[in-house]
Amino acid sequence: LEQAARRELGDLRPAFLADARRALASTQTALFPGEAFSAGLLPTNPIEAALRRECAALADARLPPENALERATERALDQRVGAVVREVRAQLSVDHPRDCAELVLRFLDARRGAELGELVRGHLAGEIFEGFQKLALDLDSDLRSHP
Amino acid sequence: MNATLVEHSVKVLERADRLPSTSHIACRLGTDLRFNKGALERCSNTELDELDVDLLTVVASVAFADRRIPRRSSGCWSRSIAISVPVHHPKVWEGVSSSLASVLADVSGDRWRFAYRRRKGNDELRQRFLPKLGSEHRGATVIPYSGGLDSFAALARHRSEHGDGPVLLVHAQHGSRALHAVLPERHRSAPALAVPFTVAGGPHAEPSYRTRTLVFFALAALAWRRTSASRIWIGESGLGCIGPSFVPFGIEHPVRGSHPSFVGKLQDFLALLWGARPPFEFPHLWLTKGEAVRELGVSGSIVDWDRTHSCSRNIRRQHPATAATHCGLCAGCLFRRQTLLAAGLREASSVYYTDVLRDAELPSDAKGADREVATYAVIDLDELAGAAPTAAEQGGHIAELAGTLGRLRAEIAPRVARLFATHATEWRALVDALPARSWMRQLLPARERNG
Repeated sequence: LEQAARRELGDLRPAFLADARRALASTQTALFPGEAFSAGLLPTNPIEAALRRECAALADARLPPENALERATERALDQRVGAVVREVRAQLSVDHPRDCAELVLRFLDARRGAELGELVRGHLAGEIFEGFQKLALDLDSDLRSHP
Repeated sequence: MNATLVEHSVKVLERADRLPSTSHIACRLGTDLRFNKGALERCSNTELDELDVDLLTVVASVAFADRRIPRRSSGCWSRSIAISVPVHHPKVWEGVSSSLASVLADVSGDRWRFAYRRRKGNDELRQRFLPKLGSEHRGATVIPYSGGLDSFAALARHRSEHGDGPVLLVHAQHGSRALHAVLPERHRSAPALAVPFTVAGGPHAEPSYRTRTLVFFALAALAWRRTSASRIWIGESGLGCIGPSFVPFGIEHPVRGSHPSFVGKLQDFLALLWGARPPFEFPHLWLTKGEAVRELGVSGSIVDWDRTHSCSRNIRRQHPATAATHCGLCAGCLFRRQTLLAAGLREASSVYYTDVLRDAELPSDAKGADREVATYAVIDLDELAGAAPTAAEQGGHIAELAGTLGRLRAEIAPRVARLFATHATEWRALVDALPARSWMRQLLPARERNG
């Protein structure tokens, strides 16, 4: 899950994050601040689309921009990790129909324990993560090591 | 670090144009994009203007690119697409290009860039376009009609609320016979306009085709503009409109083909292009499909609902021996079962390749693809139900809907919560109606499996 979360954060373009930071600093409206973002910086992947939505949700929260950006990024990342969990649930159900319930529960536990906030803070502070690499999941070996 | 997307370049060619270099994908007007003159001429008494011709060409070119350029199943699902397209008014199109890119990014998850050049050839589309409508069709309601339960319910609601008020159907089927197969007998006199072009997607067309509804809705808007219609009704029920955005799967961009935010962006784009904003409306936005159909059933407004088609697969190609019209396994079919159960309507088992309400096991000749499609469908609907308790807390989605619909978040949040909760109840009812040892129950968490 941490690997998936790092990959998602790696998909956030620095220019897109900077635009979100700028929009949050300049917007104080209760409505979706579509015009607050640069027209030339459209979201190009699901986490950017989620981040823009979450920025809009926080636009009138009167938080300092850096705090708002951190919270919006964490919420966007949480949604993306949720999407990964769903995909894993579906794939496990296809590939391992007998064990899927147990594996999904294990995965959900992992999600609850994941420290997404720390990853987000690290990324916003300049830590660089790799974007869209294929996930190195090896479910068969996971099954063998946790029978 | 975010790697740069490789840009796919598509060049739309008129007859006189030379083939581009191999770095471009050629899209030849008249070959790769065929405009169906017959469809246009049969239903026409208004000549298209140049901007309309341009719109059809641009929309068809987008559909071509979306079908022709494959997505990667792992890594980055999004694509970067550049299209060079000949239009009559390049300056106008340059002025609306960023709005168009925004619409397309929202619905497809891709990055789009356009270059416009002046069109050289004669118009192949300068012909009469819309049905020979009398003046009584002014003020009509335009309804994109897919033949599924949602558009059927929209048409039934229109009849229920507006009697014989004029409607104009826009559909993807070619030829009136195909439309009649899914249209209730009493509605067959309604004028209908088919999408007037076909797109060559190649031997392995990209199946996601997320711009499908853009084609459909842009044509509906064109029909609205040409007939002085009063409104355009999108019949999709609330869960179909917003559900997939709340519950995305994996690396895929969520299906947003009927999301109010996408439709709002399409309205903005067309308003910029035409100077008039097409009035799209969602009569069933705050109802589940089951509620919409049940409501109409109570008022006696649904007849021939069993002619509708919900299956996304061609089951007779997969299983030539079956006489069924629906696979019974895909998300469209399971959603149909849930809807009909909620609405108290019954359907013969023979409609389905497999009837999940009767059969505990998948058929013995079910293939791997059937199992995979079925598994994803069950989990899709179950995840939507599982999202119910926290749906109102999804601040970003609530803010997006509130902004698009011009409502307060405090008004939208409870509506969203009610919609998801109703879906969860309807899904629970379907699960409860399954055989005790149903294969579907095995895919659900223990609490749901056993009721």
